[in-house]
Amino acid sequence: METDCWFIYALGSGWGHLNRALALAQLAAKHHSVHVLTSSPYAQRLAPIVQTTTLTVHQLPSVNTLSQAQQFVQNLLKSVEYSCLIVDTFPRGLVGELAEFYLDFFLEPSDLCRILVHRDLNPDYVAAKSLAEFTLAHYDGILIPGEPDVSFAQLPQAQLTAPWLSRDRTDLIEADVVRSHLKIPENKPLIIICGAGQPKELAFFGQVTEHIAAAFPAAILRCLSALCPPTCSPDKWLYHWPGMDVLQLASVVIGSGGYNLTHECSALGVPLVSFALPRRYDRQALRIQKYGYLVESVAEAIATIATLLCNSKTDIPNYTNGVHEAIAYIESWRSQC
Amino acid sequence: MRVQLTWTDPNTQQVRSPTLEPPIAFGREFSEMPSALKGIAVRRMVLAGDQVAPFHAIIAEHKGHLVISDRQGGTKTFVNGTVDSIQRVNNGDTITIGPFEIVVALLTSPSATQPPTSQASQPDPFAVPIATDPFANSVPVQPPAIAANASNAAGMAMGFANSSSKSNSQSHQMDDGSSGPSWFDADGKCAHKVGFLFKRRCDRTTTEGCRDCQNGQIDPGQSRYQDDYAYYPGYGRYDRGRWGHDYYHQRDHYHYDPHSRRVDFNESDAASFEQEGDQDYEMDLDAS
Repeated sequence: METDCWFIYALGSGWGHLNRALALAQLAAKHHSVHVLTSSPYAQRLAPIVQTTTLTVHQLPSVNTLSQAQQFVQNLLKSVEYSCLIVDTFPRGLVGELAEFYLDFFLEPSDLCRILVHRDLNPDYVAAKSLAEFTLAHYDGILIPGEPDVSFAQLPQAQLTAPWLSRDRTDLIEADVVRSHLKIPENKPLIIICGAGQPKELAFFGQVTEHIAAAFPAAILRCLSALCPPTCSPDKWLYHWPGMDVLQLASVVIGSGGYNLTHECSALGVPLVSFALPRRYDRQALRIQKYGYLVESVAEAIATIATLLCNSKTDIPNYTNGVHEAIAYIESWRSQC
Repeated sequence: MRVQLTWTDPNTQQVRSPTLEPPIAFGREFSEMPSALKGIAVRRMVLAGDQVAPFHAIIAEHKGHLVISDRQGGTKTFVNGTVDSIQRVNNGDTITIGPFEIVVALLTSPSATQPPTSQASQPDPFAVPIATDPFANSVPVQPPAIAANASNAAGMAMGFANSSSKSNSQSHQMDDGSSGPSWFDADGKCAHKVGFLFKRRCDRTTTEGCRDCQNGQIDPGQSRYQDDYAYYPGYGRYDRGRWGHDYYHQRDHYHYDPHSRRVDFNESDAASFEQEGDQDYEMDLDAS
């Protein structure tokens, strides 16, 4: 096997798995060859930006059946040579394909180092698939980026790091440069509605944008999303990646309770008003209750925003990006395999 | 390569001696064991015991030899008293998984020597052993109201034994090629009745992966729950005065809580209570 190559498995819808994988991959690619497998519908927009000679992004193609997806993943994992397999969130794979892939290791021992990136998982799923036992048996290391109350935190190979973020504190683009580039005036409070998550949820956030714009005529409203929501006027929409460069300007952010948005706002010291969107495996309400303001209606969101706008905006704190510590752990585990 | 595995179940003292083709998985939970390995269907052997992991180990053919691999989830698998993650298994070796000691006999081809039927020490594990029916001449466990009527209890025991003998007279498709009733009806679906309390038609189109007949290992004339029914003769009977009468006639009022997943029944019974909110995991590529 090639000794300097890492493969990051990051299947999962929306931005979360992709952003977390790229946060790790872009730093790791400075010293290793890195492959990232994603099924995010937004990956194609990012691939031209992030791909380099040492970072390759593989996109799961549109398939008709689960078995086709499983076959694609297994074939890709067998065709690329790597010494370290880093699996984001799903120990058995998004559709169980890794469980079958790992069976090969029963008969032919390998020095492949396997790492799990452990985000919150629905405990019903953990129990239904005996994931704790599976993880104990199949992973040399478990990285917990910033959420200590997760199912596998007590396993012996688990290590907690700070949240993984798209930007180090020192790499954030200067606020004035962002404002100038995106034509965002400075003289009024900025409210950002972040339309992350799945494309089908964009319409909701577009409607939220229009409602909040009407409720706060003295503020500047922008909907930050990959595509302009059909219910949002184009003059309020903007796209920029990574979103942290823009979020740092906000007085308040409104969005869902996904991993990246929650921890990015927390790191930047920007209050987050969140709707907990339904997810098969992630418990957004739990995360929002720890790091943000959970709301269940637009009216409630407006009331919460009004309260938060009374506070003055604070300076960006000197936060820690956990990817650095994560890479140190991975290299340590790799040396022991 | 065919393999005959022989062991005495420490729970029932019943001798099991199936002949199978690898890969063969061992574990406590049928559903936790893989159904296929490298595209080949896995024969899943359920070993009931606390020292047995849900998916404990797997035997497979590798480079012309038989090897056993321990899943290393905190459990251990011994071959002739030696423990290792992967070990070669030879003819006559003893594999120890929890309290189960399994002797391995390698049969090199499908036409090789069949399990000797004349030896009393190796009975067909899936035939109902009339001579060893523990309830043939004893009074089974009864609720107090019925136990007072000894003749009735004995009659029930004989009735159970007779039903077993009747099912045993029906031959079935086994490894030795004997013929018998098919699992499937003319519509191509399995007509076997499954479920512990509430019987329903299986309707599967293949025995592969079926947890009720365990990949076709259980004789269609034999109930998977015959031991349970032997201990609780009233289960599965819903006429007035029987244990299940109230449950059956009030079944429309039962509520299955998908959050607590609290059901007192097995998987087949749980299927009868499925609601729209229930869902399988690892079935959605758009999940996160």
